[in-house]
Amino acid sequence: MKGRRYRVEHQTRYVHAGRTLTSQHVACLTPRTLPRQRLCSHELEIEPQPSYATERIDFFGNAVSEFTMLTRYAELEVMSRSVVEVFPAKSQVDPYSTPAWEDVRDELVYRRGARYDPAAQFSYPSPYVLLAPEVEIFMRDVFTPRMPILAGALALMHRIHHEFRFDPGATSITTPVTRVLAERRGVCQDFAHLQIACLRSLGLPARYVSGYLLTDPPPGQPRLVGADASHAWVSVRCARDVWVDLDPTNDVVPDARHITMAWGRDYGDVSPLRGVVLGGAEHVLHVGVSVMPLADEPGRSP
Amino acid sequence: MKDTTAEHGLDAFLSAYTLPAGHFDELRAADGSLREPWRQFTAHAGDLTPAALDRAQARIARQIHENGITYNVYAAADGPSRPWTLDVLPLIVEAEEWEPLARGLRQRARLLNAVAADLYGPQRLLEEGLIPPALVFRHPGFLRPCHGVTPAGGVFLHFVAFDLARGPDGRWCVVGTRTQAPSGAGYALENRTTLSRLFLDAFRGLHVQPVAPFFDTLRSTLLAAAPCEQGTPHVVLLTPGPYNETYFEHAYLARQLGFPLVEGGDLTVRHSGVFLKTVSGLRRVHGILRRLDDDYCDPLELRSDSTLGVAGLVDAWRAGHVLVANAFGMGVLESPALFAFLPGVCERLLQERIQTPSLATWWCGEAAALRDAQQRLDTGVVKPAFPDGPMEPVFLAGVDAVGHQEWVTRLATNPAPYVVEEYLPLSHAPVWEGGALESRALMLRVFLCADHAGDYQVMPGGLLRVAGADRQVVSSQRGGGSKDIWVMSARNADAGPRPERRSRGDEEPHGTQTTSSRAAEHLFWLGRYAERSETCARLLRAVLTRLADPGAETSDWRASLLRTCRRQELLEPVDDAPASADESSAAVERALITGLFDRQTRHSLGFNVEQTVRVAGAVRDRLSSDNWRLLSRLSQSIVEPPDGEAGLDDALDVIDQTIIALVAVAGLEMAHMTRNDGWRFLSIGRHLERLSFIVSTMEDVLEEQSSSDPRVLDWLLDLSDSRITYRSRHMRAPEWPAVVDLLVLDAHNPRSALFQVAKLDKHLRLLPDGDLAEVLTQIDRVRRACADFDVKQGGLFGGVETPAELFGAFHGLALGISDALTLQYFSHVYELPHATATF
Repeated sequence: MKGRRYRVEHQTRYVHAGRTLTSQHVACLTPRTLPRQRLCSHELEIEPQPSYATERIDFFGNAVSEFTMLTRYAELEVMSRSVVEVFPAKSQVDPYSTPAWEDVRDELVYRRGARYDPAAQFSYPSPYVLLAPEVEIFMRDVFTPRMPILAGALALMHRIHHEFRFDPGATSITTPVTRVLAERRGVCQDFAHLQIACLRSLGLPARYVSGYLLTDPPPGQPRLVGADASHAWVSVRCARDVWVDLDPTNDVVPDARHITMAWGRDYGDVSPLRGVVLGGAEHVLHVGVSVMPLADEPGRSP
Repeated sequence: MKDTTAEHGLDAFLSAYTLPAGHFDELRAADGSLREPWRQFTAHAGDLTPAALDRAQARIARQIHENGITYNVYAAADGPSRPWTLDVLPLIVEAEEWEPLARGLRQRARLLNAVAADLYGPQRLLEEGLIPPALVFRHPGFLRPCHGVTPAGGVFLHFVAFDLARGPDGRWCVVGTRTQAPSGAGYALENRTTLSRLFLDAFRGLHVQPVAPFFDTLRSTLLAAAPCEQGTPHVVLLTPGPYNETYFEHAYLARQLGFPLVEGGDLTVRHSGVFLKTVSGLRRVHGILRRLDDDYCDPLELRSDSTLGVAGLVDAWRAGHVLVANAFGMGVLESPALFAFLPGVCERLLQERIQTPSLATWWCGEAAALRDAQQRLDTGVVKPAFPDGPMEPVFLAGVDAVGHQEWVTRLATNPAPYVVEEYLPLSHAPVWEGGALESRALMLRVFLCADHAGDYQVMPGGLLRVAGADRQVVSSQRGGGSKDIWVMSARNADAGPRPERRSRGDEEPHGTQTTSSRAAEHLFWLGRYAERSETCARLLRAVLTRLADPGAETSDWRASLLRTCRRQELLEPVDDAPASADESSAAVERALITGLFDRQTRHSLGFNVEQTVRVAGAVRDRLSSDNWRLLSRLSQSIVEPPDGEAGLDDALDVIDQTIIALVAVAGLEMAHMTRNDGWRFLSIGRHLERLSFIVSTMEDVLEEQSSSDPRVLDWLLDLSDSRITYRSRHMRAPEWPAVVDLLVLDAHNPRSALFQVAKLDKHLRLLPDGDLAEVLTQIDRVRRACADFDVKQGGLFGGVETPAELFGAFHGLALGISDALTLQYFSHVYELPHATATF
């Protein structure tokens, strides 16, 4: 089967007021290979040239690159280029065929000597997803007794989408979920963290997914919010080995327009690029992302 | 043996010694008689009368003060640093009781190491349901970046501590686990050193097992495990710095183990290898014994808001290029919630039954355990299961009915973050307090280190903490004290008793140790502040002893002396003083004496002495204990001014004491310190400071040189400690040219400016790999100018024609040297790493 191929370009630039002494960085910029997604090529172009770099696979199976700059610089540019082939989903999971949410929760409760489900690790609070009473108040009544878990998660996604405004200036990555709740606005990370917090407060496993959206939608479809930077959404675990992605920012179930890069408990596990710098004074960050269909894709004009 | 116990032993106190019901009595058996170890102690300890115990307690207090043993209560720059407290009576444990306990703790250490290997590897314990996943994945101490790493030899835990308590039935049980960077072993050794001297006969008679060999094992374990292709591995001790509450111990252990003490900023990671920034460039580090908790170790991969760690350290460790003891991620083993699961895990991993029990603990996240815990809510203790948990332990027996119901509800609705522990009444031991024996609750911390055979060695002894005046709560943060613990040797054992020695490093403080850039800078400033304190004290003495001279108020010498005091900022500068400022001798005297003890003002003697001691504290691992004792006496004289308003007598007395202590410190530097790079930076600091002071003072006097009053020159000589030299050479009263010759140009007077330049020249040329060509040329120029200079006729070379120009050249040189050192050797140490912005 042949899917659609996309070229992903993700550029990160740090411009410093002074020159740095040394710096070290960790990048989580390589799209994953999944049943419905294949990584055709990937390269990380770093300017100036790093003094050395290593690669490894992290605890969640994401590809991570680490690099160190020993030469001094005032400007660092990291360009991640990938070609990803995305296949249409074979079939959608029918929300009403998923188990009742209480059953998913109870299956994870620990009993001595009982079988262990690795998904349990996504059901606990994590550094960016702290559970608070406000979270429970917000999601009250969404999950009715014996509701199928995916139906509940979809209803929750609709509620977040309807009650919150997308506002890139309102929050930063350190804004806690409680403030996002109080102000009713935020960006894709905030909405993803909020939905995860809601699910985990019920004892349900949910992952944070970092990835990309197609920059220009196919004809006849609206442009999705969050396409000019890396995007984030949620994956909810519906049954053993069945995870379903949900994008609360756009109120959609991700499809061929979403490219998955990495997942973890929250943003902290998969932030695309972070670093520690010695010297260099203040700096500003510029990020640009473009996701274009490749011209050779059959049935599509360039 | 003479029967003196009835009069002098502890028996005499027994009738008045009480302890609350339900606690094990460490002192007495059930029939009220002394327990066996105490009977033996009494027989050997000699005089145990109240007067003798008071004397002993006073000696301990003095030793602790002089050795500078502290426990900083709050980890802040200006937080109080409280002297350590050690009770005069040890706790004595017989070999028959200790050995099974030690065996059990060794087993537990092996067990925890095996648990670590599983959690950071295949996680079979999770798969088989032997450990709940929440206790791993919800615990902030489980570090995902460290999963999949197998450290050298499979050893994750090199150094472990267990907290033990003894229940009413007399059995010890484990109540706490320290697997990241346990503290207290250094305090335990220091306690032992102090107490074994005090009761040497009892120490010998009871065949007490020495604790010092334990540190040798720790040292050789780390050296053997550090990956190093050839030669001796370079192992360092990583400390969060002088503001940490147990910094004293870090410095102490560094000396004991012979490892350099370093802070995160001293280390850097290059190509997945760890290096120490030294004055001779980067030096490879093969092993790190860390006193930094996991979170703080690597801002890149662990906690990005921390500046204490080393960016990239986790990666270097993962690559197997450096030993980190303990391995990262061991915090997950500290959860009290694990206690309930260890017996099962022990049988699975070691095929053994667990020997030493843990305190009965129920993790509420397990339904069956929660039911059990709910049965015990009347008397139990609720604690957080995770270190980021919501609260301090709650003793439910002390909670009212409403609070109790709240806990019932809370545990039912959100049980996972809590454990319930059985309430354990702690055993009590006697402490000597206010002239009587009082009973105090106690808790014991026992230390283990990995040996070469895949097992662990137990320190025979440990740190025993006793509750404060409320007698129940045991915590170093909240007050209370400590005791030494004596473990007797098995009968027939050849114990070879001897008083414990502190460290081999004591006699030879720092051998051929490498000098980190930070240590070099601290030593440089130690030299400068010590010298500055001394000149400041000499100046004060010169002024205060002369102010009352007849005719002083109108004399030239007084004007120049006051000018020097103002420039040194011992008096307010004229510009700032109100026009009507009282310039009478009495007023000046008062201002100088008040300023003397003022530690806030930047140029006061009090400030300079305090800075000397502070900077010395930052390089404590490099100073001998004698040196430290002198410094602590020094600070005491200034820190504790006489009661009430100090008079001239008091002030002069303090100044004399200060000068004597400073001279002794300087003498120790010359007589006892190894001539390595560190000593060189210290000496450079001293010579540079002395050079600046002489030259500035000469400038102050320059204006009076035409004056015929010989007393101007007299105080100048006094200030430079050169009066005797002058007298031995010149029979007449001081004259300007001869004084300039002696204080500036004489190459043999250790106080002259030229002498300082010659010394600086020598030291700078011996510094490693520096590019100091420019300052060395500057030095040559100044030396040539001096050689040519005639006080009466001026000079020709180097553009120096007048004394003022000559002094200017010296000043320029002092600045040039200081700048060159900063640029070459000290720079970048204090640059703090920061995280990049994220999107």
